[in-house]
Amino acid sequence: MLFLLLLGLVPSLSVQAEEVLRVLAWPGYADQDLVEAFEQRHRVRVQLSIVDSDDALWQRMGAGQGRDFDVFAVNTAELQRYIDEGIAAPVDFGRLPGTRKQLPVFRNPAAIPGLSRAGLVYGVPYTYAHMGLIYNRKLVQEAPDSIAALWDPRYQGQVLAFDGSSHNFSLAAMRLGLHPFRLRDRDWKPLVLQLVALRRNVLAFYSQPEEVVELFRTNPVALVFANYGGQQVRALRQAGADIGYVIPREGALAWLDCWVISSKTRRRELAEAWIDYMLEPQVSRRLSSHHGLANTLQGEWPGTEGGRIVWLEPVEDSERRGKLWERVISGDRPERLP
Amino acid sequence: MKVGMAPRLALILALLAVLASGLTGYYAYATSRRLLLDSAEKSLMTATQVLGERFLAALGGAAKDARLFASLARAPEPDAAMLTEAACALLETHPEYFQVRLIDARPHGLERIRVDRDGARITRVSAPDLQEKGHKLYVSQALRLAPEQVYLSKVFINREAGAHSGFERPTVIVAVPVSGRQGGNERLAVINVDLETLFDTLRRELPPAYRIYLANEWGDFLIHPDASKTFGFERGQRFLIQEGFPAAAAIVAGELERVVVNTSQGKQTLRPEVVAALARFQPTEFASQRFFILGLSESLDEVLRDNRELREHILRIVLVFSVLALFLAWLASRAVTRPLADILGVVRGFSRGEQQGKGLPLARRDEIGQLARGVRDMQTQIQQQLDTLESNRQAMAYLAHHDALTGLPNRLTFLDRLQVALAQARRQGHQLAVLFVDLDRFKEINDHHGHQVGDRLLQEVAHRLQGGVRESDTAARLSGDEFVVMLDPVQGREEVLRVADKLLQRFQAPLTLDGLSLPVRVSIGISLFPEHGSTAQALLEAADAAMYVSKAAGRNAWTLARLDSDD
Repeated sequence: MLFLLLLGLVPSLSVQAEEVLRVLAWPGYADQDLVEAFEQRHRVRVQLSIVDSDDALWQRMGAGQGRDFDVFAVNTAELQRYIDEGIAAPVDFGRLPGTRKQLPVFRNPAAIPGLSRAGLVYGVPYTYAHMGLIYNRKLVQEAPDSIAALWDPRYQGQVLAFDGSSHNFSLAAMRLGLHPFRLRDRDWKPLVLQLVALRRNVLAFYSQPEEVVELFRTNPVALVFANYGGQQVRALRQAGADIGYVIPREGALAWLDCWVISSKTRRRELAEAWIDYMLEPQVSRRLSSHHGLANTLQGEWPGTEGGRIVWLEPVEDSERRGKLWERVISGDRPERLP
Repeated sequence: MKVGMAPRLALILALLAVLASGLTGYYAYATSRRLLLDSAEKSLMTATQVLGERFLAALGGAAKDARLFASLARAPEPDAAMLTEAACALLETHPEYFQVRLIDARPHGLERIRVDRDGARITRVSAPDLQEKGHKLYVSQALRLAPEQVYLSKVFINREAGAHSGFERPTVIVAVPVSGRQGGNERLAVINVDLETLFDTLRRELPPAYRIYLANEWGDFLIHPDASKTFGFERGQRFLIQEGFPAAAAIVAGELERVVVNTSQGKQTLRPEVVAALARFQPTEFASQRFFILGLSESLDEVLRDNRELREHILRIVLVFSVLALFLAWLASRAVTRPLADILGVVRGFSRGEQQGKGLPLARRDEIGQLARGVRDMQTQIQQQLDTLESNRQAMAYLAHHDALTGLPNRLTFLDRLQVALAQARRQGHQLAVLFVDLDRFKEINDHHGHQVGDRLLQEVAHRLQGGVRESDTAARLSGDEFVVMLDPVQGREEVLRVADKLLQRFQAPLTLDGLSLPVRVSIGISLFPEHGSTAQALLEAADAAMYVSKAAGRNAWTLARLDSDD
């Protein structure tokens, strides 16, 4: 009896600590069920964080000099500053058998600018997309053929642009016929004014693909800068939006995201296992089947399509772009901006 | 090993008692635990309701303030100084407001009036620091509202550059459109509310042990005791109330208004374990379906603190009571088994032939008393039967050694005594005598008067013979009308002859019976030891022979046996 009495009073023992793999990725890169399968296979816990902009990614990785994450996904252009800062660690394709299943172009670092430096490879290509324009067939009679459509006063208050410093500066540069990634000193002022003009024309700057779906539902939206490319097209069509997608004549920015191992990780082998797992067909194909993203195992590498695809490159000064963008999006008037 | 009844009974009683006290203790504990939990759940739910109502009231107040501010701004050319003063007054009276603005729809949502809280100061922002906010959803969405409708934004972390105190704070924006003369909304009255400050104020009256949770309509935590779990979506991670409290899923889904959760039951997701009340609150003043899930929790440890004390008390009481129960059980078993042992002792003593009935608890009025009385009755009955048996045995023994008619020793007994007496006489060298006595004319009387009279006559003979000899002498009936008397000891022939004379004398009177006078005469033959024989047989034969001499001589006489040498 006393035993029974005591039985209910024994505090339950706490669960034992388990190994944790900290992953920083983008929406749609690792679905919950796939993460759970990895957790079970390796008897670890995966702490998955999602970023929705390069700025946020840089902020979160840079805050702890890479100590806060073991493996992350970043595009080839952004990768350069991570290598500069010593946050990215070189990878050995020999330790990643999954890479053998990838299309040959992705296994040839020379073919992908930005993937390697000084003979060391820093990333494993995972997915890519180009960022064209989505237009609402109900509100836009003719498919837009230029980036300038985002500034078109006909669509004032019906444009959704992306809340990201680097892309927006590149976008504005392309509109003005400037080099999207190498701004000269005299380019800044007109570009900032361009961005203020863009700000005055948009309904909002979005971060996540779902926000676009939500705003499509509640507001008249004519044009969307498709920062997430095919992923967004798919999500909108699934939500019932009657939309078209075009690559403007100035070209569409494109990104190639790679898995990168943090140089500060203490779980390098687990991080490698994660990357290898991401290249398994049932995982990689999920990108295309569920999220409208390309994968590196199937399909055809688009290359540059005669200049219509502008692969992202490291920009001249991402910090300057970031600071200026912060002021633009906060609403500073042109006369307050440098 | 055989265990006696007493320890077994004591054990069973003690177990029962301990069981009873333990169960009572356990149920007292369980009941008090449940009551404490119930009361904690009720208090939490009440507090949650109160807190929620106050939160709604605060939001409603913000809506009213925004409306008031909007009404002040309705003039075509609003009085900037007056509006600025009004904005300052709002900030001064409401520590949770960190920004009050008037925003023009054109151009581009430019701020016309803006007053910020900056630490302890209130800052009036003026051109050129006023910003364009047309690209913000709170501007575009609020401007689409009808007059009098109030816009309520999502809760977000404010990251607008130049937001002063509001920077990086969980914020909700309340906005009211101001319609122009041509219809259509010309400007907006906007109040930014800092939820952290608001809840710091609201929680002041709550018990300090209460923890606050606030989640948006998707379940994302906006306020959580663990700050790292708030606004996860802003950092690419989601921390949902329905993951922390699975029962909250029904609230998020809109199926339930409120729920009480005890994380120690079912799926364990929260540590330490808590009791929590969660409820859904939908602000009514706003043109939105937005709702909040507010929750209060208290750690189970805290709730059950009193119960832990009670548990220790109960344990102590149960222990003490168990010891007491053991003692009482021992006493009780003794009370039952002791009289049983007493009765057993009496029964054993009885079988050893001890006096009956002593020590039996006869006076008790209970079953033990009944048993004792039963034992006593049984003893009495057995004793009576034993007595009867004994008297029967004695009667049988008497019959075996005596003549049934006269009560005199029979031939067997007489020979036995004679032999014993002979042995003694030989050893001690004294003399004894055998007198053979035969009733005269008995056959005639018997035939004439019947057996009954004959029997009475024989009894009379026996009586007279016995009365005529000493106690140490033996008179016996050998058979029919033959009697024999042994005189032991005798001093000599003269003494014997004197006794013979005396005997004859006793037979001179007739027996009067039913009006008859019957003569009772005997003939006696006498033999002496050692003169006439050394064995019983020889002495009897000699006396018998002498008796016949008396008969032949005319009866009613004695004759001394002849010596062998007389032949």
